[in-house]
Amino acid sequence: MSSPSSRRLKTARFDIYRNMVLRTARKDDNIEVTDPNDYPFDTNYELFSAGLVLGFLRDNPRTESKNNYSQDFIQVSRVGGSSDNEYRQGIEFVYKLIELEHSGEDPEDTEPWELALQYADAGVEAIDQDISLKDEFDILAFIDEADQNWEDRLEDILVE
Amino acid sequence: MKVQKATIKNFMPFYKEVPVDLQTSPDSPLILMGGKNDRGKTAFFTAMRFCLYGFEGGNAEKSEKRRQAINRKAAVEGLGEASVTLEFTHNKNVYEIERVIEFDQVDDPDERDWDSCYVNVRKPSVSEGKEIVIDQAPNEDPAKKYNRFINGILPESASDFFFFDGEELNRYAGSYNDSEADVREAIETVLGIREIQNAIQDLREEGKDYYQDGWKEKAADVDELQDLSEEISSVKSKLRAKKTEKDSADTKLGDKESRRRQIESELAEASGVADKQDRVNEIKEEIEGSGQDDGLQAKLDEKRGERRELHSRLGPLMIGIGAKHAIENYDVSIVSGMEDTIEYLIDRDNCLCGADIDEEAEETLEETLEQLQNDEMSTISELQGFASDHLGCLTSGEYPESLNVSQAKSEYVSIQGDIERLEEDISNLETEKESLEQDIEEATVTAEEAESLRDTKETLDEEIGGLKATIETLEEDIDELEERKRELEQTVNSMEAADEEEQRFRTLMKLSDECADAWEEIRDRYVETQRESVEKHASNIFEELTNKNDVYEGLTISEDYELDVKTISGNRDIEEQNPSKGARQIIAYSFIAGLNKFTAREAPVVIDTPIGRLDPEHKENLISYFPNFRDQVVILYQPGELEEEDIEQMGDNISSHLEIHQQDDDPESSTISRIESESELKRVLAK
Repeated sequence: MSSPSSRRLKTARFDIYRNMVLRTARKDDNIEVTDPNDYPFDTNYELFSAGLVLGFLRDNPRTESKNNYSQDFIQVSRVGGSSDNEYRQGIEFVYKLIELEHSGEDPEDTEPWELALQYADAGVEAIDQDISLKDEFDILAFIDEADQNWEDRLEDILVE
Repeated sequence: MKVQKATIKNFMPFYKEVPVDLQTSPDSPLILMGGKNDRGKTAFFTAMRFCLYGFEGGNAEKSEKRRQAINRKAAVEGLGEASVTLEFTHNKNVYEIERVIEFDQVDDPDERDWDSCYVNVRKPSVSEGKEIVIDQAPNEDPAKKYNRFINGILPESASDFFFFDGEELNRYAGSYNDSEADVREAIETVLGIREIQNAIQDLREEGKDYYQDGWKEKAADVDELQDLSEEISSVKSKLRAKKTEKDSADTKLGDKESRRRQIESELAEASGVADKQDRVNEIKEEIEGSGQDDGLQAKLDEKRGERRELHSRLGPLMIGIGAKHAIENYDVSIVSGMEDTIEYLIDRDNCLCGADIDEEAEETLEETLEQLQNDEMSTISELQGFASDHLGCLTSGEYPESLNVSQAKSEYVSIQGDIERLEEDISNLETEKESLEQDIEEATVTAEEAESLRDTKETLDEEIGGLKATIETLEEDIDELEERKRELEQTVNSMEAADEEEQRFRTLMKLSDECADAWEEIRDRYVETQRESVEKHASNIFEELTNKNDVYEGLTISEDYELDVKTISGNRDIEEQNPSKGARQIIAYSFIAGLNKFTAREAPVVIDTPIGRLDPEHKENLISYFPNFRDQVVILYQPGELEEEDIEQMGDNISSHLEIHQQDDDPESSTISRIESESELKRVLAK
């Protein structure tokens, strides 16, 4: 099990982050931010947490992200600063579930954090696709999806 | 005129009322009236002329004659009036002329004098006795009225040939000097030539004057008509000028009103722009907010911020759902509590409920503790720890501990609804604002221009007011001129009759002249005819009367009515002939008889002293001719003029034979009475 300090948030779909995260967009010289509200997320970890939980619930990791990560965002232990933070706690909770789900497997085959990054990219892609498809950020649909899938997903992990 | 009766009253020697019957019959035209000298023959003769014509002469002469005409005895007795009345027939009418001299009583007859003198003309009326034809009524000059009346019967100028003195006829037998111009007038009058002449004169002068007066009067109207026509032209000219002026003012008014409407429209547009700009500002304020009030955009931004916060918390929310499931569905905490309790009980003899803890119970507790303390359970517990931490973070903010999805969704829906509503409101406002701004941009009127338009409109208002006042004044002027034109045209229409009258008078003047010319021709021919007729008749009478038929062949009458004697050796002027007085008297009788034969007048012939100094042959010839003179011949003779055989010669031609004589041997009270006896006749005839 990797320590929180060794686990870093990163993505192979930085392009999506650049379009959906305000601070990331602002750092890009090629993007002129006119309306902050055009960006659903303020920081990368906000999008990362959403992608992570969505990818985890769908259990469809973006394996092609492996070894294609563009850059590190931040260490998990630093998300939200020194105090407790819902994003960091949320990421830790999902990561804990991933660890539980793959606790009997060879860590070298299935490194939980790598899987978490792949889940996150898969979720980010799914959000991007949904927005592209609906031309809006339909968070209610994602919440409904979470509401419907969490119980089965927990049961798959904890009961088995 | 044929005199029926004469009544002489207190006139000259006639005292009181002296009636004289003068009726004659066609076979007996002669009335003889004889009397000695100073008995009143000439007074009777004078009385008849006085009755018809008054006295001749100037006022003083007339006055003296009137005074002397008053009977001396009557004056002393104060009988009040002297008068002569003639009753006569004329043109089948009966008239009575009464000429009166009023006087006061005097003690001395030489002091007698008249007070007033007047003439009355009456004619019988069936119902009321005698009707006054001419009286002293003040409405017309009675003298003129009477002259017109008597001239219609026997003009005074013609009376000399009816009332004459036989001894004074010589004046007609010779040349007329200037002082005897009246003779020619008398001759012309008696022949009716004077009437023609008068008619010609009337036509030339009086008629012409009359028509000229009418013409001048109407011509004056014509002048006025001309003036009126000129005034109408002037009024029409003024009217045209006023109408032109009004048309111009109307046109100006129309232009200015049109311009004002245009400006009002532009001002309305300017006003619309201002309103639109106000609305734009309102919209901006509504969207952007002002002062302390947030605008819609701020609210929208706030809501979008809230939504974005929810967006950004999508991950924690979704994880929170799982964390809650992990905690609620898996009781890992109980296991953890049990581990502590078992560890507490293993070292004790009694349970918490008081039961004994034996070895078997202690082994069970130890097995259970071992089971609880394996890795998996620890992991779940650790998981729940993370879940709990996450939920703790998640609910430390806005969400309650019992986070549920529906609450999050409800909040999100509410925010989304607010955002959509705000976006729609803003969009609508923006659309409206863009439309308004487009209108404003497209508007052609600026605020400055609007101010300028207002100034222009005020000026136009004043100008339009002035023009309306001007037009109103012009309309009043036009109405007045139209009324004046109508009045003038009505006057002219009424005066066109005057113009026709003027033409009529002009025609009458011309006719008057032409008529006068015609009458002059007629007169000339008539004069010649009458002259020839008179000449022929006078010659016949002369031949009848003269005692020298072997020498005289007749008389000739010149154009000036001067007599010449035609002898067997030719015409000889009477003066050159120088006949005897008797011969002259016979020539004059012949002439007068000739005139009377062709006179246009009907009147009695009254001859005073008819015989005079005629020789017996002439006298006999004349007496034989007397009955032929006229229908009524009054012969006033004096003793010695006529003798019994002369009376016998006249015989049945005498209607009555009268004597003028004194009453009671009073020389101031003569009277006239019919000769009834031989002795009376002898007395009258006696020299």
